[in-house]
Amino acid sequence: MMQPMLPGLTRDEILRYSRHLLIPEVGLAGQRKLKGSSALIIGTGGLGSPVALYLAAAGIGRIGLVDYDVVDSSNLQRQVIHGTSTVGKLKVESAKARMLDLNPNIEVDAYNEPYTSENALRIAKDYDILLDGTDNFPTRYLSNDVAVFLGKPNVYASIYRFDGQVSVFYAKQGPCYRCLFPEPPPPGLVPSCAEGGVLGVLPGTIGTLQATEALKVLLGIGEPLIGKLLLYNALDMSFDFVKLKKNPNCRVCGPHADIKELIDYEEFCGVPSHDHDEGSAGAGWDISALELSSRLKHNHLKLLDVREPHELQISALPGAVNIPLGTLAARLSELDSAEEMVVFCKAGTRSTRALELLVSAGFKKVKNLKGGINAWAKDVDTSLPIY
Amino acid sequence: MLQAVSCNSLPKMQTSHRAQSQSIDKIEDFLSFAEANIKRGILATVEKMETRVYRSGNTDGQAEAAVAGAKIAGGSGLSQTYDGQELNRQVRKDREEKQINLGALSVLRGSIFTRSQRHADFEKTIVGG
Repeated sequence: MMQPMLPGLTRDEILRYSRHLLIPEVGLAGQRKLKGSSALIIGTGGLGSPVALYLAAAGIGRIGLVDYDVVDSSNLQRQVIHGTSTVGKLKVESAKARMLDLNPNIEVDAYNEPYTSENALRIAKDYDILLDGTDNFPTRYLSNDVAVFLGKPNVYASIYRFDGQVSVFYAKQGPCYRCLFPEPPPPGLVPSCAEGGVLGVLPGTIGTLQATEALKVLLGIGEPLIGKLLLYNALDMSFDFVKLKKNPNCRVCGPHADIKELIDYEEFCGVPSHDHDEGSAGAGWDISALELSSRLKHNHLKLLDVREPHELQISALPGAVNIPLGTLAARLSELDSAEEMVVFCKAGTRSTRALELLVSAGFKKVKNLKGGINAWAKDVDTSLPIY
Repeated sequence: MLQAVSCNSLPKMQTSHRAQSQSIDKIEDFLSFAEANIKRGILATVEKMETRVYRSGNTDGQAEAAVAGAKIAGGSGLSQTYDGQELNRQVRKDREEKQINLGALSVLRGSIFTRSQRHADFEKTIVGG
């Protein structure tokens, strides 16, 4: 993994990294290793922010960033590498500028493109280690498979509300992500942070652990989380470890693996490779905010709000009935299947699932408010906040 | 559907007024239901999971569907074991979790009821980044 000829440190670098040089496990040789190393960070969001900052500060010689999103003000509660001044700018450029400000001695490669089966091997092949800071299942499986095929360690982390997970999936020495999760969960079963939220400091905690694992692997020190899954809960302040075993039947890293090349991961997972909370039920099932507004002036339509009750404190539509998605199946009897109904949530993801449930239960006159109440706040009632 | 059973029905079974045999029947019904759903692939992430019933005597009115050492096996060196107290703690925790989205995985976390060939006792699958 390491370069055979390690680069030297300049006088300035020796001062910059002096606290590292004082640690026997790092020292001058270790710092030169870091300078000669490279890391690819997939995603520059919540996890990618602390990872990129700390790997840059630590002096990893070359760091790649992959992301195609732009900075949004709703990111800043947790994505601390970005700032108010970079809202609207490309995330990779925003992050790159901050990293180079922190440490101008490193190289930062910005890949402003989605990480896909078409480009992932090309992008990842020249890096020593991969760090998975993605926010969706297709890209997580893609990141894993790329790491397995290229024989590189994949430092994994994920977050949700108060929970975090960290592991190092390195198929040469232990299990891969597919050994733990051979198949993705059914679409919609596992909510994303965009749907369910996340404590702002959580990616800081978990991303910092992720960066720590990367440094350990690159330096060859300590016991990386290979074959172990760290489970963190912020509310309990608990750190639990679970040992993982390599799956002898793993379709990617097992001895009889039958997946030899990258596949269509969106098809495999049944969901798109982003967690933008912009659900659409598809043509014929959607109604736009403007259309709904127009129809409400002339017709009676029942409005069904499937958000959680605490979200109603942020914004609400008058006259809407609130039945959270999680309780809808048990409360169908409260609804009249003969009545025309429009289902909505924050942005359309949960209401799409609610609509599927209603249709499968025999409701035929139902529509999904495309873009949710946020679309209503944007297009109809601008006094409502968007969240 | 499955979630409601996992989170709500089991605690109801554990009322002190039920006869032990009746409770066990219901617990077994529940487990059969859960197992069938797992096998149907609803819990796709754990499709390899086997379900076993561990039960011991009824102590203080709390029917125990468990768990004289339901062990996460697989020869991986995993050594986590669960006892009746752990079961009750897990059941309480599950009962407190009202989120139906995660309910299905609460059954799973119900690795208290299960024995995995190779899967770890992961709390739940999360994906955020």
